[in-house]
Amino acid sequence: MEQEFIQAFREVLREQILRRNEVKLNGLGVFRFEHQNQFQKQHEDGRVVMMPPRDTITFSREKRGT
Amino acid sequence: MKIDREQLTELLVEKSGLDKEQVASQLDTLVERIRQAAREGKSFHIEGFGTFVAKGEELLFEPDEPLQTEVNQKYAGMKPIELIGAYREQAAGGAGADDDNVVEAGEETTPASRRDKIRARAEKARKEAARRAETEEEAEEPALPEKKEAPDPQMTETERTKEAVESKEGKTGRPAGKDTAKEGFKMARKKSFKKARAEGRKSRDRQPLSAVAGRIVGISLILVAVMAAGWWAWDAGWFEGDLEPDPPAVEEPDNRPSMSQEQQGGEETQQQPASEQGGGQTVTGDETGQNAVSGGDPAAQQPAYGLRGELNTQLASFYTIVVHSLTNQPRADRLAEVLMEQGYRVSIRSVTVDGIPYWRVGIGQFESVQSAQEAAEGIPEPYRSDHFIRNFQ
Repeated sequence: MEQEFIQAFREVLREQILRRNEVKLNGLGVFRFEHQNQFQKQHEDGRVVMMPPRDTITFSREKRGT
Repeated sequence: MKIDREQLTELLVEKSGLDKEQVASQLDTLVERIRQAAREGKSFHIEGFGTFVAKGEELLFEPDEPLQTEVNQKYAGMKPIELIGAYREQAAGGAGADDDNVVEAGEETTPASRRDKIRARAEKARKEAARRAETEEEAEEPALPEKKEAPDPQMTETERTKEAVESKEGKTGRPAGKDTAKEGFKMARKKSFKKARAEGRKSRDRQPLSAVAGRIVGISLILVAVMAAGWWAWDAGWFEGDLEPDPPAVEEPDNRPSMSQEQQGGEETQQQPASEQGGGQTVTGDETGQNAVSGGDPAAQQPAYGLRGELNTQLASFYTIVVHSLTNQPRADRLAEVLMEQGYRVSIRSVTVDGIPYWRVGIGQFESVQSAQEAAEGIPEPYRSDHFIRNFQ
């Protein structure tokens, strides 16, 4: 694979995800932008923490075949 | 918006400067290599983008830190915040499945010493909650003995604590806890119902007492009324007839009040007001029976003024102690006779006050008001406290 392609692939996906667009790679899956609200979590030792909100990239594998 | 293969190819062409076919083949190659790695159970890393990780049948993607930070730019630097105050609520309802999903990032950012402190604090709070739950259970024991459950010797301290806290908070998902709570409510309701019924019975038992108290109050009111009526009758002179040898056939109820009424205007009438003088001219006492009693030698031997003795008819004007003021002349005459028998100098004068004729019965003859007042100090009751001084002419 050419380095230019990898560079372009990385940048295009980053841009599209930041624009909240879904990017579908045929035969692989879909990349999505996802916002997660803040939430409370309790650890096993009993302490409770408030998790901050965050934006993240999620990937869902295509269902048909592998 | 969804970017499909065609759009992605165009974008890649635009970005990379390669032609469309090259991009398409490169893209297919990339996808195929990732799938190949997944089939082999290996991870596939694209530098600056992320890693595809095969986990069984699943294919996971973990973005690289620079990309993740860039995507999460808006919330970069925000870290988990520990909620101290929320601990108990969470401890009551939270323990269980949620603990498995604890976000590890929080732990990673917490130093070990701080974590130990937090753990110690959590342990302390848990113990305190357990102690409180036990105290409450003990307090409820006498009221709800069947609610108590024998502690399971196999149960660990933590489990017991959890159970205690859950049963206390009522948030537990365990059916046993719910049943206990329901039973508790039922018992409390029964208890309050019984209490209310007992109180009702008590109040019914108390009813006769209140009736007795009411009767007592009623009787005392009647007694007070009777006493007041008696006092009023005494004040009106209804019982004065008993003192007389021959009680009058008809008594005037307003004898005494009229005297009091006259007494109020005492200072003025001492100066011989015109209203009194109008009727005062009709002197009856001196010319009737009293003169028949008085007169004679003893009168000449006694002093001109005094309380006792014979009436000095030579005096044209003197002050006297008025002890009776009546609208009934016969009665006034009879009272005058009684007083004369007791040895007083008695004189009667008729006056008209507000159009009503009164017969005033006075004892003693005095030169001045002062000497009359001094003499009045020595006369017996009820005259001593109920009299007034007048000038008779």
